[in-house]
Amino acid sequence: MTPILALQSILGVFQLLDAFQVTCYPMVHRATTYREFSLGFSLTPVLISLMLINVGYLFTRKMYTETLVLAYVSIVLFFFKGLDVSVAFTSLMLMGVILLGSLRFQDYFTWLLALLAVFKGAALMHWILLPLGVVSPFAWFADLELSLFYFVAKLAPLLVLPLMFMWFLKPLLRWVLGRVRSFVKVI
Amino acid sequence: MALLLFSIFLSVAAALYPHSPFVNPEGNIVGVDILHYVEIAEIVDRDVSLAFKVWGGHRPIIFIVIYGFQRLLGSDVSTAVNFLPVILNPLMIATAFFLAHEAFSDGWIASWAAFFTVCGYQVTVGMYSYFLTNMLALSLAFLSLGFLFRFLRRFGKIDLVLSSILGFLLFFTHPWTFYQYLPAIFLTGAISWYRNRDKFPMVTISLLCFVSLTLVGIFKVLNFVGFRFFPVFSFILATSEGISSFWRGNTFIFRYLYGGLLSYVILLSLALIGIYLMDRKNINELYLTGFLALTSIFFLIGTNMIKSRLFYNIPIGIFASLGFNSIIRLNISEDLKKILITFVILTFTVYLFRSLANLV
Repeated sequence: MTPILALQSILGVFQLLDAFQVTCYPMVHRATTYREFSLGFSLTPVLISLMLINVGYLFTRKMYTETLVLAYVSIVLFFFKGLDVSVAFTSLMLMGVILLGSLRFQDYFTWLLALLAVFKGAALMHWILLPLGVVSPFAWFADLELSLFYFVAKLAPLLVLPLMFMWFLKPLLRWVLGRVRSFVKVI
Repeated sequence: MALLLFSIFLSVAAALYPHSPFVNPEGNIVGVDILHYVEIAEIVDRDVSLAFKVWGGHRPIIFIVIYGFQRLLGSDVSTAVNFLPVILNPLMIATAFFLAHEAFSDGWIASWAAFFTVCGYQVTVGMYSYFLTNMLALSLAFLSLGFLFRFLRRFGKIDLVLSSILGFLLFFTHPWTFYQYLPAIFLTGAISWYRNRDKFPMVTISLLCFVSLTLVGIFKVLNFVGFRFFPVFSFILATSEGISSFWRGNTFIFRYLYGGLLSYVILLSLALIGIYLMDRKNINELYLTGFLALTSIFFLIGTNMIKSRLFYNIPIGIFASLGFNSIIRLNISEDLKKILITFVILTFTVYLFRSLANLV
């Protein structure tokens, strides 16, 4: 089950980014360009197939309440945000529900990283073949990887703050936690 | 050791990759500053003593290195400058390994530090902007600190002398990097003295000895050649934009400057974990924390360009290696460990080559 969950979460995130047309500013041939995240096709049919397998799994585990709640959320999302968003979001929630039920986190992360490694491997093949003058069949993966990198890069200015000021934040956090603990003890 | 060799191989490949005719069919220049280097190196090529006069005489070492490399290749100045990263990249990787090894006495951490340095922004941004001087300076700083840390462990006089000589050379390679790395030694010495007031302050004396040896050398040359003193601090204070524009500047640096190459979120996340886990009781880790603390003050008030250069100089590969090793040493399955290592190697190598391919 975990390989399907891992695949579903990756495809779900891709579909969600595509549906919301998130933007990023990648550097392509030395120029910073504006780009909207786009897969070029819809992953909805694939995600629906995977969701059907997962729903079947939920029924075998007699998790009817969870299935009903997910069905309700997906219908609401469908009316407000359309089919693509609804399917992507529901598949991610479905993955979360099954994972929390089974608690097989290590298996899940192993498969998730394995699938991401295949994706990264395909992108790497493109960059390795490029200087050899070989027409790469992996250009799509490399382009998608570029967009993902620059989309996630939006977090960098935030990450830098704790990174630079950890020398101050760490003792501060300890002090605050110490105060909270003594306060709780007094109560 | 295999990872170190792989990292060195990657660093050489990184220097050659953007020059490939299929990656760069139009033969565009690779780095922003390359033309300045060629121009000045041509002057030095006519008379090598001019290395101490060009660029205000602040950075003679890099032009002597270019001059020597050019003679070694038997090529023209332009070719020597274009291919200098072939020696600078592996040098930086090897010195990062050395520093991490001396700081943590752990070959595994040191190997990953080398890998995260070659596949981190120090090589990609270095190639993008062609920070030849800065890259050489980082190598010297890593080497100097490595010998200093070794001295603090073994108290071998040769280590201290080597460390001081390298610190001295660092000043004449890239004063900015020197000023960024030196004050933390004072701070570490002071904290160490405060903590060990009752004991014989060997560490403090050693650190002061290192600083004084380096400074004596610098003052002698300053007196002899007549350089401007401390231009960096006055420049930072004079151009300070203050805290009000901090966030705007921060976004600019990490989103647009250097093509957004500084914004490697996985690297930054690993480094963040590493920094969090550092133990200030250990003198080496105390230095690294002090270095970050002092850097962060100027990072807070400096201009965008200063901030970006301060951030570039942080030994991010070493911090990332600490963070990654803490994850690997968690109680996780062997399969997950193996796949995590594979994923990290692939994702970092993709970052390196993708960034280099888009430089031209």
